[in-house]
Amino acid sequence: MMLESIAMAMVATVTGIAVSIPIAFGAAGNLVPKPVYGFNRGLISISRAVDGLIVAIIAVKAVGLGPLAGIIAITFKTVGFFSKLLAEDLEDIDMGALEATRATGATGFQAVLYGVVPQVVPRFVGLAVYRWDINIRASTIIGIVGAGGIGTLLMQAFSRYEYDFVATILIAIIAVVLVGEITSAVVRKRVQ
Amino acid sequence: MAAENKSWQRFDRRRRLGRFALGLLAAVVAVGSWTYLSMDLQYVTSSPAEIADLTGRMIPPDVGYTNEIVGPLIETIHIAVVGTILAVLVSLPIAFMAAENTTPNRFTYWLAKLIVTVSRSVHVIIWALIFVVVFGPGAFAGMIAIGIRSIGFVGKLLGEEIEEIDFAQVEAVRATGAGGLQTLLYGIAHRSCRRSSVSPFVSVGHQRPRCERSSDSSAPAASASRCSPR
Repeated sequence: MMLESIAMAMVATVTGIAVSIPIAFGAAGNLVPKPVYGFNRGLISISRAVDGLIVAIIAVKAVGLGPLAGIIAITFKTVGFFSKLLAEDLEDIDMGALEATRATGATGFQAVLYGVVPQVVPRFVGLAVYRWDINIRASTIIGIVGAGGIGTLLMQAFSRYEYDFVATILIAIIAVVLVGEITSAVVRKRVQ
Repeated sequence: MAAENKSWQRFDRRRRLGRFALGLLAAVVAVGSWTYLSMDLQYVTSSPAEIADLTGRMIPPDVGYTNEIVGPLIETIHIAVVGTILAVLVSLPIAFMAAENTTPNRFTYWLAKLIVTVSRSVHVIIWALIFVVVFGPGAFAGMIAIGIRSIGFVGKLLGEEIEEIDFAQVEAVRATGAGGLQTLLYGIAHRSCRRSSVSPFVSVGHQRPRCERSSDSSAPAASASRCSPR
């Protein structure tokens, strides 16, 4: 079950980041026109406004009990967090590099690839690892509403009054979260 | 691969290989996790119908329940406020212990780090479950849960803030013959008020209720579900 939680966090991080990238570019005010900006900022706000557990409850209703609902919920939450922070980094870039790339005759896509992307890659990696760490945390709890992972087990143990089992699960959660946090701190320190 | 004089590459071969390997590792882990979960996708096809059912019954919202909502909503805010006050009070000594420059000794430093870590890595809902068992369902358990959970957050941020203060002033206060508590009061707390720390202090205090209200709204879900077996 613990492995299921970790696997959920891994998958949800990857899918969440994959969805976040286009939204982040769309939500960077210096790269896109106003309507696109507003639309993507709206998407981010929606994702940030709702608590992960509530999304999980809706996801359980939609796709049934199991890790898929958890992945959907964590992905949804990842999008809001990741796009917002990445979009802010994109807004902070040096526009000179983009213009210089454009001046060499690069097309729109090439200009973004060589003028924008290299400037945010370190932050991107740092954010990805940070979000992975948060997702590990989230995936250990999300099972409480039936969305897979160790939370399901925890809830069962609680409702059976097996508090010794509960204590074991809690220690396991703390250990995993701690390892995730340390890993993420080390990686972020090296990247930035 | 070999860089001809016409093709330009940003990185040399080793770094590109390294980057490729890291990307590959991430992909393998993600795909491996997906296969490990071996999820049953048969219910995905029925999900549009389920969502249609959900939204169909959600709209229009029944505003007749408004009177029932107001009470719990006020209670939620009370839980957040009292929980935050509790957390700030308890986390003050912990923050001083968790800051490397004010901690009495190694043992207290690690003890504070342990408290902060345990408080932070256990989700507020789990804390709520535990305290519902201890105190019975109700606002008191929620308040304690919020408080315990916030200790880690406030203690960590405040501890980092204390680590950043200028220590010369603390030594100056100590040099006048001040005792331990007096040093703390006039050297650190006072300084915190004057300069950097008020803003983090106030901002920590302000920031927290906002998170709490949002996490709070889901806490009753746990306590409600715990009510049933009792």
